[in-house]
Amino acid sequence: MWSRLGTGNAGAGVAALGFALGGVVVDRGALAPLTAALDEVGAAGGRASALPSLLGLPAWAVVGLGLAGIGLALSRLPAIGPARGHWRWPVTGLALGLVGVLAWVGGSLSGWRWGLSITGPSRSLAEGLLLAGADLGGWGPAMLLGIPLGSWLSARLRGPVGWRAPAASELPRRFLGGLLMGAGGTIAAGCNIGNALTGLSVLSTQSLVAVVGMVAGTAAAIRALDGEDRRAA
Amino acid sequence: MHSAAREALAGRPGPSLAAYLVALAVQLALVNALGVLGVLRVQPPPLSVTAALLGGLVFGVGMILGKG
Repeated sequence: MWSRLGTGNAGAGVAALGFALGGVVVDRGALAPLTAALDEVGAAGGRASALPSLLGLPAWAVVGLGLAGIGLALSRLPAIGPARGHWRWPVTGLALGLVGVLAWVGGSLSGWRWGLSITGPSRSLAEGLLLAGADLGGWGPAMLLGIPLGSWLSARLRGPVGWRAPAASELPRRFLGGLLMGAGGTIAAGCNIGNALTGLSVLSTQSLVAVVGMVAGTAAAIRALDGEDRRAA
Repeated sequence: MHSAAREALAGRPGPSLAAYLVALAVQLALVNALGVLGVLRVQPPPLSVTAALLGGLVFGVGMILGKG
């Protein structure tokens, strides 16, 4: 979303705006009490929050199991050709993984204490711009603003970059989707990056549960919307 | 990530899912190694099952709607 904004995708920009605002609504806005209440329900003690202590296994064993599972999954994948005009997937994956590690190291140096993350920084950016007394600065929002800059640079190196806007009728849906992503990502304490990549890499139970929720939500929405799109066609 | 989820759910794993798995493996190995070496302080966040599950659900629906 933030990355496609950098390549001139105006629809992604609308979704990113919704994303940041959705986070503010449930963090500091009208729905903040709901977020606080949800945090209380099913809150578990320190031991359950880390997968190793929850499973009663040493951390290295859980890391090993995770790596073995990923290896098995990758070995069972059918042959995948290069995606149109993109890097081959092992390169993309390696690059994204290393960026994630760099984010951990770089963030740690500046007191961020978390890795790559999109939801929190988007919300902080909106809060810093909108609300008095909110802190704008910090490693997260600075990193976030680097994303569209980087994707713009990358796209610009390949040729001219211009704005592309989706049909006007698409915009409310994009904005609503962004709002839901921001609200959901804030309630779950992370989005597909913060939870599915950063959180899982530190063996967080919260992240694993959130990823299960995300996959379920994605599946339900695909089912509902694809049915609707077929009826409309 | 959106593409990876779509690939997985359609039963047609493709480049996005594979790239995500590689990225996760790289981070899993290196971040925990750096944690053991004492370079990073790795601490999982507090757990709230309901918030994680519900927030994840809402996020997933939003991702498909917003094409995020």
